[in-house]
Amino acid sequence: MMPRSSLRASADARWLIPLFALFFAKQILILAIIGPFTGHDEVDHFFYIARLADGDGLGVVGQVELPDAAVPYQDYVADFPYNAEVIQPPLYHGLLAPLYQLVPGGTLARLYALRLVSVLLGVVAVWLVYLIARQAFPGDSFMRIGMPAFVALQPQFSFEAAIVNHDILVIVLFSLVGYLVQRGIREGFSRRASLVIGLVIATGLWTKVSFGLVLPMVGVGLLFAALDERRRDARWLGPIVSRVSLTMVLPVVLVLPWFVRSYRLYGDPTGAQRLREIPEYGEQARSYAEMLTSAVFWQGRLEDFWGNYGWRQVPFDPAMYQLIWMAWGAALLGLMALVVRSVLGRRAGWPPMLNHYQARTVTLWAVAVVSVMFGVLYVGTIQFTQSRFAFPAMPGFALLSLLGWAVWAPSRLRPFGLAVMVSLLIVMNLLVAIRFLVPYYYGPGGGALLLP
Amino acid sequence: MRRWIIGLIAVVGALLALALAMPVEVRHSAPFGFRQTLDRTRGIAVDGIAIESNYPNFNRVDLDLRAYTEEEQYDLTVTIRPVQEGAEPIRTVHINRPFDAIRVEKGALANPFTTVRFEPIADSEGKAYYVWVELGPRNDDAVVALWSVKSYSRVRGAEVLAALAEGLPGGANLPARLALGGAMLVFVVAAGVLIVILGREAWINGWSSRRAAARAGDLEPL
Repeated sequence: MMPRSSLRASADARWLIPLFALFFAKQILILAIIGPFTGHDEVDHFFYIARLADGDGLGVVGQVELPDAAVPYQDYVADFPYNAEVIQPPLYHGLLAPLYQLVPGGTLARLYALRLVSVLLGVVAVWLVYLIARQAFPGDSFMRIGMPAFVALQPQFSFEAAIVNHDILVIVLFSLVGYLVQRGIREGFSRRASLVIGLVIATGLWTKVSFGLVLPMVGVGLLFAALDERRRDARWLGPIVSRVSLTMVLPVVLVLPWFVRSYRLYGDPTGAQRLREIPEYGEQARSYAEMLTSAVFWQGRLEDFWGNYGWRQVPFDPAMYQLIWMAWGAALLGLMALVVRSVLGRRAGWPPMLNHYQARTVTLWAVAVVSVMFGVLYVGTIQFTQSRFAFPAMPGFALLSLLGWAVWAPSRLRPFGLAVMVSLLIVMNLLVAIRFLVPYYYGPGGGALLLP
Repeated sequence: MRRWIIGLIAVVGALLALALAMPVEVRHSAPFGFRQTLDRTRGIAVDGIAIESNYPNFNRVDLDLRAYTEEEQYDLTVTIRPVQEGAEPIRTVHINRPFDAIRVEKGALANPFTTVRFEPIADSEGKAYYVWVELGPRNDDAVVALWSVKSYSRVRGAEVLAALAEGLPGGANLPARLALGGAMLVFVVAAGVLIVILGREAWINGWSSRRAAARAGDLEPL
């Protein structure tokens, strides 16, 4: 007899197969459409990989210059002629170095081969979102189908999954940690499960230092488990100490060599101070208060989240942003209504909208979203900031958006809502490609004005 | 089964029509989507700028107009002429806007652009045009600046995709074109299958509230 999850997966195959075929085909198209090296920080990441492949070592920010091959793309480099990305841990770049060496041909052939890896990582990320949705909402097709569809059709996630940049690996690892913590809340955090979570977090920290923003989500997951155990067992403290050690202390210990290196070279463990000193970075820095109270700042972040491909060169039109904001506004109001309804319902004895586990899952991902948004603001205190720094919590954005919309639709209308949402997202992807993205780079009369 | 296939053909056909046959307004290639006249460092803006059209049928400009003086109505004349020595204007459009539509301060999330459409310029691909704005006689004392201009052409999606196939990096060789065509076909067919499956699910599960209530799962309505 097949286990329940396998049965669910086989039943889901009828929509999963077309969804993944659509996503993969779309990614191949975006990979081809986006001009060479015009993804954000793509020049730096590519030549960081090249540097490791050529055995030139890690390098120091402010000393590592980009090679001559990067000169035509200097308008797409934050700190030309220097490679600012060598401040980041080298796992992503080191993993791709062998592929860089194996690919025959010149720079362009290698660039597109490395972009293809991002496409495959994007497929893994969408699959993880499906697992997250299936775990929390096994009986609700609106959430189970809607969450992976939302992520697969989100334009800037697609962009991340079609360029050479370590951010797509960060999204995959963050989603994996979220999935494992969700599972831990339901099934318990065994020593082995805790160790696996710790190792994935260490992998994330060796990919990008900001991966530490996953820790609040892990902490909340452990707290939920501890509350359950405290009710069941008097000896609850020991297991908690063990879990915290494995999931939160171990990864920090494992990444310590990188922190020590950064501290010795730049004077702080993350290297942020060194980035602040780069004139064009530091000049755009703002205080938390300035950012939090600026409507223009939040407008920019909303635009970044959906549009503004590569270095903000290719935005949507205002009307399209306004439609998206209306949809997200409805989701936000829905979430607020859900909270109010939950508080009132508890007092009045109404049946809850979400079961205990779902409520905890929503809390978990809400914490993840708040944590990565703090990351967006933190980067803003160092340099210009962008919404893509929040993308690691993409499953959380999908979950909260879908939940907010679900609140407004009676259950019998949700299947229609799902079909409409997916159709609209597909049409939006088509229109964005035809109206903005392709014409920016290609046209019978030219295109891509900043390209060499 | 037959209905399923008819539905699939209808959805794929609609998507193909949208992607290939339906005319859409494509934005010309420009950094950040527009040509900026505003120089924030010097605090100046002028009333015109040259745009480059990379598609035929140039038919629309979006103007970021900013009025610094308050008047009830603004009469504006938008003129377009090729960027050539001695070239005559080829399109002139008169528009009228209230102060609130073009006041200098724009609220957050507002659309700052005023859209102006005109008879398409058929052979516009690869050509530059000067676009400028003049105030009418009753606004002689008004101060209005043009901060930026976006420009568009009305073309079919097929023309956009043909431009992509021609301009692919590494040359528009046959394998590259076949791969691109294959990916487009898979995208459209997969999208069609997905929409039909979800539509069918919605029809079966969503039509009868009693059945839907039984299948709604964990998430109950508010």
